[in-house]
Amino acid sequence: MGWIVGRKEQEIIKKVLEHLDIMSVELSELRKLIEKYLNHDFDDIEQTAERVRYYEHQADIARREAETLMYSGAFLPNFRGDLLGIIETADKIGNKGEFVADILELEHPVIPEILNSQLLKLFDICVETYEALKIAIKYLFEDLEKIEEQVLLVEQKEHEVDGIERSLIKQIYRMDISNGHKFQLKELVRSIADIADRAEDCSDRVEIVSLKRRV
Amino acid sequence: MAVLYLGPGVILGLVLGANDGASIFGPLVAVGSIKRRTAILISSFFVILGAIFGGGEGVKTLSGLTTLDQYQISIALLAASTTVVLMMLLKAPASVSQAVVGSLTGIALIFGPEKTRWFTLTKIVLIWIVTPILASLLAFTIYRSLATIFKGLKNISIQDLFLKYASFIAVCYGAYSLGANNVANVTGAFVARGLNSSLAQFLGGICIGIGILGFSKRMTFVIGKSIILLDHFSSLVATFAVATNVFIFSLVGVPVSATQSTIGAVIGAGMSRGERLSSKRTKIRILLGLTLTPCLAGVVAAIFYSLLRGG
Repeated sequence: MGWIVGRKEQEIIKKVLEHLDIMSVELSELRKLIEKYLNHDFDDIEQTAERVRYYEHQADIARREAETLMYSGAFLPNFRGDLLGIIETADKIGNKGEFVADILELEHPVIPEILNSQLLKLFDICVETYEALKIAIKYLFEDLEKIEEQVLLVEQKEHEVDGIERSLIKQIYRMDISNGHKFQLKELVRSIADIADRAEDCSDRVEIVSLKRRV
Repeated sequence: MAVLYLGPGVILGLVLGANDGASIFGPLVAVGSIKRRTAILISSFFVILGAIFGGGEGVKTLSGLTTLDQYQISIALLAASTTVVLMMLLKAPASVSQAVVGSLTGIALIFGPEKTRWFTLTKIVLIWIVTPILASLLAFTIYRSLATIFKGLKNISIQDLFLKYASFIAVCYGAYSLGANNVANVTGAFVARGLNSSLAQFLGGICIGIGILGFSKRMTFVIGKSIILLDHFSSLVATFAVATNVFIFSLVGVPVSATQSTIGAVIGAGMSRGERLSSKRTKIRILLGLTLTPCLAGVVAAIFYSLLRGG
């Protein structure tokens, strides 16, 4: 009887949302990591980074499960491809989170204190961008009409991130530090901002799906 | 011996199933709204139901088109089948109805114009012209109506379920209409020569059903993809338009071309979305398929008849 009410589809939706939720947890772990790092609280940096990696791995598992379920015949083929693209692009946000954790844990960059508040602000808005994307994806399965508004929010947040990113890089290049150091800090800033960029890429795909459904 | 004369009718039924069955479900299968196997199974069943319960009027019309005997009718049907198979090999959408009428008329003309009932023929030809136009208009209207329902479906899961079930219903409806309208092509001409009408409808339906089951694969994607590649919603609209178009003419009792209806409907549904038929090659192939079929069938029938009667 499941096929009558779309049980397979419900299972996939559950998995997709689970994937997104796990990435939210990953980003909140990353937030803790950045905060500890900026406060020079290095004692359990490794453990926190490990938790970031753990949730990134869990997100990968949820993504693969959703993809496998999708190819068992749920949804119409056109949308199957679109949804697959959305999940894959969303997953890249988690990968970037792990990359930022790696920079902090493995490269141990020296971050001038003056950048702390801006860096945290940059990261927080990236998370807000991601959360807006998450709602947009949820709306695919709840109310297509609300997607547009959410996609606009993602764009707006990403634009905000761009501004902070530029101001941080400008600040870095005005500092009296070595070029290598500047480059390392710039990479950290760019990598954090990439979280929002990737969220925007994904929200573009969500928007296309909702446009394709217009009759 | 009389049973042997039905042989070409059986062959034509198979060809019709292969060619026109694909016209019904081709657009939906091509976009994946319904699996080809499911479409084939339900179509072959509903085409038989359509032939049995709705094929009467068409059989009446075609049994009165000419005054040919059983032998001549058999040759005409063989010529029609050959013509459609040729067109299928060229991957050109051809009309079985046009092939049948063309070949019956071709043989009748050998014996002089009085062997053809010109009023019936004119009525049929006029309806052929109207068929794709009406299918386009129906597609346009159905698009607007279904869009109102579709817009009310808030999310993708519900939309997908709607499209899946509606596609299933559309294939059933289309196959029923095809059976009701086109069974006359297969066995209609034999009714005037003594074959019981109900039996003719039943046998014709079975032949078309087997044709769909066994031979419709080749044309499915020609019809589904080569005109305008539609999305799920427009394919559904096109199928409903074809089904309604063919059903209306089965009530009138004129066998029309499911292929022509599909071409009209696909173009109509595409236009509702703002798409145009842009490929010149496709346009030429469609036009050739639609105008050449009756003429070619008439010539093939005349040649077959001349050869088989010994010169």
